[in-house]
Amino acid sequence: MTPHQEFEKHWTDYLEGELDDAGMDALKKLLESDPDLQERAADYLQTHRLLGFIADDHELGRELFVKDTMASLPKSDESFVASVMGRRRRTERRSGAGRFTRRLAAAAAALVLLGVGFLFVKPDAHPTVVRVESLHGKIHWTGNGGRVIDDIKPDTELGGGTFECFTSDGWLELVFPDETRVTLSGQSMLTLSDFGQKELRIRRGAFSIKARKQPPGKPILVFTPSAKAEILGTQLNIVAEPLSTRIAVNEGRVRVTRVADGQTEDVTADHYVVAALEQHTAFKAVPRQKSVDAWRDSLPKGITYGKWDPPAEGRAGSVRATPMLHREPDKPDKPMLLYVAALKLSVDDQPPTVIRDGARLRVRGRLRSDHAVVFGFTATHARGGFAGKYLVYRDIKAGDRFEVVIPLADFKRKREQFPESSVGLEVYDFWMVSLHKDVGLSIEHVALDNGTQKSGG
Amino acid sequence: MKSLNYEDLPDRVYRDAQRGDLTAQEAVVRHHQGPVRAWIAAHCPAGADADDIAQRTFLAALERIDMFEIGTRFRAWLFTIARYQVMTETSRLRRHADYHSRYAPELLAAELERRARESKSDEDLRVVHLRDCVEGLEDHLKQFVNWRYTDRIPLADMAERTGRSVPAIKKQLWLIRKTLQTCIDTKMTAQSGGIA
Repeated sequence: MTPHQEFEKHWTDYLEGELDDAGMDALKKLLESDPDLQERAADYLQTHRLLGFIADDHELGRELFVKDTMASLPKSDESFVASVMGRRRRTERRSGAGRFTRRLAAAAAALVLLGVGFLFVKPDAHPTVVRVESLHGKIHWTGNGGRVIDDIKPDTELGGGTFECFTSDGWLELVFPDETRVTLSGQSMLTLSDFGQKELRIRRGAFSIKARKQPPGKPILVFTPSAKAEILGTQLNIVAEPLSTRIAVNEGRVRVTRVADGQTEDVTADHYVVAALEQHTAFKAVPRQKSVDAWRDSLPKGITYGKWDPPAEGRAGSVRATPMLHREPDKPDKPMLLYVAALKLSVDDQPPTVIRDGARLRVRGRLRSDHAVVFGFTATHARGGFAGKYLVYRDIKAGDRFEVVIPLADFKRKREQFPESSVGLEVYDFWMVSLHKDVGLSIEHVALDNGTQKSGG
Repeated sequence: MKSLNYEDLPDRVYRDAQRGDLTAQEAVVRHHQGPVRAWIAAHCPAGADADDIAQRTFLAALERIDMFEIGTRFRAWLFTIARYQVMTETSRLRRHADYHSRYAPELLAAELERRARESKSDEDLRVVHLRDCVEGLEDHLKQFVNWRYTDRIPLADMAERTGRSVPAIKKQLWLIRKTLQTCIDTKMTAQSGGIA
């Protein structure tokens, strides 16, 4: 092979991301041996980059770049004052402006700092309401006249708008400037705003809120399809569904209003209430139930993702995994299809299920062809909020049926910030996923035992 | 001379931007974003996000826009900032212990860095010429460019669609890139009056 042919082979592999270590070494040697080739390679690389730029250079992309850049401009009073003072100092040097200008500048700065700065504050359509602390999964933010951002990163500051989490293994942790924290977990949707009083409109999903003390007369208002809650300073968990909302208070006190009839109920620590749209159901705060350490499914109840196939002759009912498009944050251009079946544990007011040392997950289901399946669960703190997501891979052989028994100790935390051991946490939901292909994954039975029960059957 | 639409904005826009007028600042970003992003795409180090660097360039420019002297060439001033941001990112990436084995042969990275540092032009006419060159490709070759850069289809899928092997697809892409490079070189030479 001539050097030219060798360069051609390695260069294309390099541009396509397929060059292995040996190829990279060979390419380096070729470039070292020929300065003209170095220059040529740089030309080719720049042209390759520009081809990518041209392909992405469309009206929408340009508009998004401009809007995103403008939204990233610093908004703080301090930076505004600094820029005002800077400009005024330069004006003074140039024009010899004296004490009047300096007094005016100081007055402007003072007014801004006192918060009475509406005459001087820059007209800003996008004030920051929350900062993204951490996130995972497919998450969209819609704000600013309908603009959708789907590549949110940690530390992003956003204005009021709607957050939507699409995946069972997803979560989003938001922090307000006063350190009030809101966490969304799993498929959930929330609109939030702060016009002097925080408002959270929860469409659906599971949320934890750790609220700092709010100003008098301005509690955090939480609205769901069936309830309204006023929060002054507390920690609570909310599960909102179209027909009912469960609000569990772990610290402090929350006043909950049932939307259907306006009845109110004060919920104190270690109590919960269920506000349903139907007025004849009980609406009373009850003590938090004692947790249990074993659980079995109540299918078809509790399904949060997937399609229920009812039982038929010779075949049990099952939840069939259905497709979901997913993008990893570092590979936004390489979406992948997931086939997901998910279910939550607490239905019909079942008590919380705590994870004991030795706990095991038992899953029975079907698969059309051999494939790796991801099993995962969401955990919450006992008497607290969202704790983390844990998962494990298992290679499953196809056949009429499969059954796996997986110790919960085998599940690994999805992020280092989550507790390393899930013992002592409570399980909120389970999910099962096959990647890329529809291999007919369906789940007939799921159970959690504490390791003392016999397996099988 | 063909240009990337370099007719500068009126001075009053820059004055308004210096006064903190967000509409004026947005107009500045909108007017200059194309050439800045193109230049950074061509010059940023391997492993860097070109649009990330471009955004930092504009944010830095708007933060110190009161330092820009009205009446002088804004784009030239902006490109100084872009060059600085690219150099900063290059230094940052070079500190990764395995940068050169992971992203780019050292000599290639050094050549890119030299070009970014020494680039005098505040426009990259190659973008203009490249668009023309792509347009001049035969349709079946243009299709490969679309598949690779717009649709980002894996090589294996291209092979399946065309009934060819992956090595054959790689050869095709090599020939297309070589053709486009020759086309750009010819246009650049013609533009500079035939002086190499």
